[in-house]
Amino acid sequence: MATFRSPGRHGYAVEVSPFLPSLLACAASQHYGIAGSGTLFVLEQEEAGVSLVTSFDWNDGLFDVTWSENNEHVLVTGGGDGTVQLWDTANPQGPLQVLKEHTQEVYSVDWSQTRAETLVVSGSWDHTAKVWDPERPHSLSTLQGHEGVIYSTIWSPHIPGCFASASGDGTLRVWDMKAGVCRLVIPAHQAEILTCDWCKYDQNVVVTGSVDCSLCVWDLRNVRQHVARLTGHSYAIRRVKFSPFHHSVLASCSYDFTVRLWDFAGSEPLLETLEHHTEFVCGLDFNLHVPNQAVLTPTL
Amino acid sequence: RKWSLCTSASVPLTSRAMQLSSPLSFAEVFRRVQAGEEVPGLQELDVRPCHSAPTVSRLSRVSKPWEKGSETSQIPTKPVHIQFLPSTCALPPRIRGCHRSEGYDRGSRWSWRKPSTLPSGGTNPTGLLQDGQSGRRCSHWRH
Repeated sequence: MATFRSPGRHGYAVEVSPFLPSLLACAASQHYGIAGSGTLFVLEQEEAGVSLVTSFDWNDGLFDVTWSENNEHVLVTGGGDGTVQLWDTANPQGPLQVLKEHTQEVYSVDWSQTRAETLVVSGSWDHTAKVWDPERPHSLSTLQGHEGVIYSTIWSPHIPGCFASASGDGTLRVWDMKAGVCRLVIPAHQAEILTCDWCKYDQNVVVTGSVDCSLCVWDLRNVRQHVARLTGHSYAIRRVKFSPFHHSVLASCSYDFTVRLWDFAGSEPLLETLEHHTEFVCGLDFNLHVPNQAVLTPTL
Repeated sequence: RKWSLCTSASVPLTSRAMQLSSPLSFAEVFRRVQAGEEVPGLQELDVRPCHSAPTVSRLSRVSKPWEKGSETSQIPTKPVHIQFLPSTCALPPRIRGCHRSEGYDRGSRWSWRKPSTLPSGGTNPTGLLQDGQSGRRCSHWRH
């Protein structure tokens, strides 16, 4: 296990570069994200440990980060001031662009996964999701419908123009960005949903993680009943990610200080519990390049 | 493949903002923000966009594992784990059962559930306790 200590910063999200297996980014905030500024860390995994490549400060807390899928230098973050920032790891001057349309915190950003498009989706506490072309100063569309804050917005890895959003209103929504409409509303939990993700090997399968401490796996072709309900966390589930290497394996992290690895298709779904943290675990990612490098976790 | 431990001493302080941060506990920061009190080390930065074009990409897009159809038959049971920790003198107190949500007032981004809706267990599931104190609860319940 390698440890990176960020002075005066508390991690919210982490993502491995889609281009370079040793490079990862961490969005972090001062004072636990309650007040103060934020920092984007770009880190490198080496034999000797994890080293800092560069870092960028922002005026408010940073709560999520996503790498560009078409330029190894570019990252996007979401901030507590309602802005979306574009950064260049090779440009120390500050953000390339700042996109300001959301009226409250931007809690989620995601770069489109399909090769048919180059888009970013942002989810905000203003109850809206916005889709952006990173090269344009204004959003392409604003999608409304959630009745609570949006905690998570994730592009489908299979269907162009399609993303899912998880909200404090207890629903998971599936959106068609091209038509600008919500295609599906799933009352997935009777509590706030803090996270969601798409299965990488079945375009119809998604997972949600909630304040009710459970994960629910859904087949979008029949949402009357979940495919699986995974219990074991003792507090709210902050983030969930499907494995890029296996159709039924996923990882979750929680305010119970643990990271758990699951196989929802198995008779014993819980594969492993990692208890390295002593505080809330807010983010995780799988390394796309290294099958056995499964989980990366920042902590509050 | 295991990554060896990287200690905090090997991580440089790269910005003035990071150097200014104070190691206040979560509970103390939250209390001060709720009370409208000053939070020591709070930075008021004025970072602005440089409106530059991004550095030209030199790498072609890498195919995703699912695009290659390279699903593994074996389930990873011992994932490599890289940990991020705030470099503070003492880690914040264990405050369980809370999550980010709309603030009760400006600047607050945390909320706590009523005891009836919290999972059971934990030393302080219903609110905030200062270090060394007991019985002190957050008065801003989320309904």
